[in-house]
Amino acid sequence: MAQDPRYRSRGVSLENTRPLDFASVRESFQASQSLQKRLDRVTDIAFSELKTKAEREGKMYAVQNPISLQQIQDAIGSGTPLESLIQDSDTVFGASAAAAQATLLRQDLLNDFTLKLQELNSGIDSNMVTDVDSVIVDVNANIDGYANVLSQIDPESSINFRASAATIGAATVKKALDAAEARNMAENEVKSQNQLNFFKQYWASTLRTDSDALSKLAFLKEREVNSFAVFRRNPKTFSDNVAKFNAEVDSGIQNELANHLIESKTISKFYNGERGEWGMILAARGLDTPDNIQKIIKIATDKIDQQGTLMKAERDAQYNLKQETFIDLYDKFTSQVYSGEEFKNELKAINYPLSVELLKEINNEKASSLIQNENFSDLSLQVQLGKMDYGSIDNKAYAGDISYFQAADLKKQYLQVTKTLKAGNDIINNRLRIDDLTVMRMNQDNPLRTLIADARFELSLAQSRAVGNGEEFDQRTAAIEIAEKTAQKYKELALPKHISTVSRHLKKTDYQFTTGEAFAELTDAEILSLKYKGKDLAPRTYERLMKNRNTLKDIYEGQIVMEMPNE
Amino acid sequence: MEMLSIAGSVFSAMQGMQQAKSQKAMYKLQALQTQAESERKALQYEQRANDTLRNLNKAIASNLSRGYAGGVVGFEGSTALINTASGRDAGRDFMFDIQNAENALLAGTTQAEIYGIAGKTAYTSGMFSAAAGLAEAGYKYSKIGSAPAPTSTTPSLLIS
Repeated sequence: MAQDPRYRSRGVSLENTRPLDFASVRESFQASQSLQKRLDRVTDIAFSELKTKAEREGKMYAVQNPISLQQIQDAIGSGTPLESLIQDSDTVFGASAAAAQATLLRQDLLNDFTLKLQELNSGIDSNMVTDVDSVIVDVNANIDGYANVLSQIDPESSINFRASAATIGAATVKKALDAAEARNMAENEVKSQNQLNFFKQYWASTLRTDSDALSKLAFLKEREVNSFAVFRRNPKTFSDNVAKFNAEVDSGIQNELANHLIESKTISKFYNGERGEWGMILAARGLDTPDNIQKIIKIATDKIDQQGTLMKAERDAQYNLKQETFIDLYDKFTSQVYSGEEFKNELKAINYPLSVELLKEINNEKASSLIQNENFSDLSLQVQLGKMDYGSIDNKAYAGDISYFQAADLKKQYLQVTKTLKAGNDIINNRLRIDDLTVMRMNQDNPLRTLIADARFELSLAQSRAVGNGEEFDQRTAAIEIAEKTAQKYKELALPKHISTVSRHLKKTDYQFTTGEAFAELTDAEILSLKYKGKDLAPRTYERLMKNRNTLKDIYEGQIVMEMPNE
Repeated sequence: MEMLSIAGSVFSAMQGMQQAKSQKAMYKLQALQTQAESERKALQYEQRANDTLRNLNKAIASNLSRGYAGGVVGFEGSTALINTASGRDAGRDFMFDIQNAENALLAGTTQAEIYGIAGKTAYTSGMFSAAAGLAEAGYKYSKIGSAPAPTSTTPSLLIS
């Protein structure tokens, strides 16, 4: 290949060098930025410190210089803008102080508002404030007034105040509303009750008039319309009051009809279907059912019975009064205040029956016989036990079992037992843990019965002695002493008998009886472990021994045991 | 908690310092790399310049040979004209490459110096930042505060 005789240029030219990477500038820039950030942070921290300090000082200033309600009033009075009372909010110190001052003022206003509400609440509670509208106006006016004051100082505090005040103000308004409603309801209820009472009286008198059934029913309809209108004012009690009204209508008809039947003596005719004008009234009210007819007849008959009972009670009261007067006169006669003649005259004055036998005794022409004396002692016991009264004592005298004077003595005892010595007798009963009914049920041979009668008789004697000596008689103290003595007597009487019974029962056991106290202290387990000749006892024997142990224990503790073992 | 926050701040500062050192080292390395790269580039330009000279010699030799073979005196006539042209072209190529090599060296040196400055800046900035961070942490720590130490209520014994 032939060599090119000429050098051909390869087109070399000045080449661009790689662009410079100005890393130093970048680093300087970054370092500068970093430094700036760091300085910013330092500045921020410093400012933050200062800001915190200023805020704290602002708050302290606000606490030391709170805005008083008086300042507010003065500012309003003098036309000074309220915002002049607080610090300038353009600085951190000022903003913090103003916020704190506003918060404190809001709290003060809220407290003031709460006090006003408390006054209102007290007024509502004591019924001094009864106008609900005035309460609402008062509450709203206060909220608006305070909120307006606050809004000129700090709108946010004003909003917060409104929220808080509205909540507590609403409670007072609700209280006033509730109180008003309760008053209204109570007034309506009183009106309803008055209406019912009014109707009750007029309905009974209307039913008693001679007007015909239609007129009576027309009156009822008119009353019903009027009364229901009154009842409707209180919806809560409406149905109850309607039910009461209807019950009054029906019971009025039943009662007045029953009275009519009694007065006209037409119960049997009514029973047989003769109802006259009343038939229409009963039918109008749906009261003509067989059950109701029976009920009306029962009301009528019950009224008749009740009248009889009342008359009997009145008779009894008169009879008892006469007997008590007789006892008083007899006392005066026996204590020679009255002569025989005077005594007779006094008895005649009270229409006391003067039998021949009584007159003989007054005239000292006759004395009691031996049999009568024996009977007297037995009957005295019965009087003390409350088993006799004036009537039965008189009957004994009429029958000649006792003299009339003995009868008078028994009546005196009876009066003491039933009236004057009741408290004392009750003390004796309580101490001996017994009641009259139990005593009455006791067997005639039961020595406890005699003991109790003796105790009562002793109390009666103590009273007679005291009265005779012109001393004041304290029946309670006397009854306690007598009861204790009687309990002791009972113990002395009952204990040997019970111990004898117990020791007899224990003979069929391996137990070595020593004393009653030792046996009374045995536990259930110890009794159940008793044997006879090494063998268990019959279950009934164990039961009996436990019962004996309980009885002995009771007697040792001073209790009265009803059952007395036979000798 | 207290020790943890102190240790955290110190460790963060140490990290910052270490980072600054690393940054400086990285820039130093980058400067060396740039320097090496520019020198390699300059060498390439020099080699090409040498190639230019070699090719020129070859072309002149060839031209002379052909002239002599055609009965033309080598340094006269067209032969001389061709050689002149070749010399002019080759001279341009050679001079450009030499200039290129100088430029490459100059650019590399400049860049390496820039990296050196950047490394120093990064190091200084990093160190300053770490120190400032440490100082800031110390300041904040001093602001935490704690309950004052209880004062002794035991009466001191007065020895007269």
